[in-house]
Amino acid sequence: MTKFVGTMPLVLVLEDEALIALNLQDELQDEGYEVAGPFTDCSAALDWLQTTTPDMAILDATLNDGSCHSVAAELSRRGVPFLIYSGYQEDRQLLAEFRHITWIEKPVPAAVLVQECQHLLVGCD
Amino acid sequence: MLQDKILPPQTESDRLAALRSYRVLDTPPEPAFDELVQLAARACQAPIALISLIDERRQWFKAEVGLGMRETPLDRSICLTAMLQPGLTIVPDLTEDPRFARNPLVTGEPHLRFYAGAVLRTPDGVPLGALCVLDCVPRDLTGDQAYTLQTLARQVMSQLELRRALAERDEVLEASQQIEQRQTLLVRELHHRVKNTLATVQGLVGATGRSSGSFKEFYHSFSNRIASVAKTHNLLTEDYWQTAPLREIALTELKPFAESRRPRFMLIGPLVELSADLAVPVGMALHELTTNAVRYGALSVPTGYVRVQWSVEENGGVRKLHLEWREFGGPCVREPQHQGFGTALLQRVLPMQCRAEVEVQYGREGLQFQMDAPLVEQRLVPAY
Repeated sequence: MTKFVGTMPLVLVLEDEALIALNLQDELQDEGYEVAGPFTDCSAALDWLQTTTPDMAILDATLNDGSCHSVAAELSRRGVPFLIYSGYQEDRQLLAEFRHITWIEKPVPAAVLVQECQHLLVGCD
Repeated sequence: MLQDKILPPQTESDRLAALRSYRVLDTPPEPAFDELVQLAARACQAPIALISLIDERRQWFKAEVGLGMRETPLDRSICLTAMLQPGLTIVPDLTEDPRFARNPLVTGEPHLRFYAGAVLRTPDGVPLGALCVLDCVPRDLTGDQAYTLQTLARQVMSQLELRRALAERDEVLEASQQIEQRQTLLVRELHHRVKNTLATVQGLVGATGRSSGSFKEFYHSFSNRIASVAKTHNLLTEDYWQTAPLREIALTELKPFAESRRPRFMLIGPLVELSADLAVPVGMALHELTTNAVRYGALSVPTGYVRVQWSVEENGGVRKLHLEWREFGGPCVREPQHQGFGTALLQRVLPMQCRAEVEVQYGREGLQFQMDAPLVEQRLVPAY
């Protein structure tokens, strides 16, 4: 358990496979994160980003409305750390400019994702 | 216009199809054909030689010497007439032949007077045009020249045949390359899907685990859920669209009750094919609803029954599925105190995955569920 002292970190989840998304949401909430979303397409995530900035984000590489590029670019612009959770190795070429970002290939145990989230949050302190 | 008078329209369209099959019209000059017209001009001692192909509204020259044109309208074509004659057509003086005396190329520049043309005929006997020589003075061909012109005409056809064989080979090669690319794409898509399916199964493990009290309960629920998804996949057609009929999806879940003496369920609705993206979540929902009805609802008592009803409505070009599950004669049900997997699937997964509007009601007679979801008419898989 990695419960946080004080406010819960807010994680944006962008994932179009509902079962994956909801499980991610539940696991993150169990570990003391607050989840924004899960959003199933980029436009919904971008809408939400208009009013709020999360502490970090987990993005699927390919969504119903295309690659997560637009959301990744917006998060980068704001300096929000994020990781990409994808089953598609080829997506790395599509998202070449985010190569330095943590890529996690589906599927991994939720605990691994949660651990990576922690790293990202610590890294940006 | 002119050729309509001379050629019956049906054979003319066959002839044009034969001509097109050589894929030669409007291609750039090629040395093999240029050399043959030069040889024809030289052998016949004529200033002009042409390989003329008779197209729909024009004659087009695959090769020419001495004329300086790549094509002319058909009303100026002497070869059109020559093409319809067997073998060799010789016109010693065009100004004296009523068929050609008014031809602008005879009355005006370059004032043609002499024509000799050998028909270009496919191996099936279809005429495509002529190899011809022209002169600006009236004259004739010697026997040797006539023989040479006919031989060269056959050589032109051989070259055209060779060209076509090469073009066909290239097309076959290209098609097989496309098939190979398509296959690579499909294998990649398959890898992607397998990993995504594993991730989904992992989600299912997590969600089932979270709502199970014991390992036995977990194992039972989890393996039944996997089996249900597999059954829906069995129903999906193997074509590109991968659809399954809604009735069959529902029947798969309710089948154990089909043998009962008392009817335990009704399926009411038109034939609707659901694409995989909708069929799988809907199948899972029907599985959860059935499982729930068997444990707590209408199917847990001998007198209860379930009515599944659906319809498709079109609104603004979007087709929407309306699906209703209603239980009758069961024990009175109340909203569960904690959200189990079934409830999560109905109220969270369906809206997310299928953009469905969902309503669940717990009534005196039993559970009522309804959803409205747009029918998926497009696939993310690349087309083939």
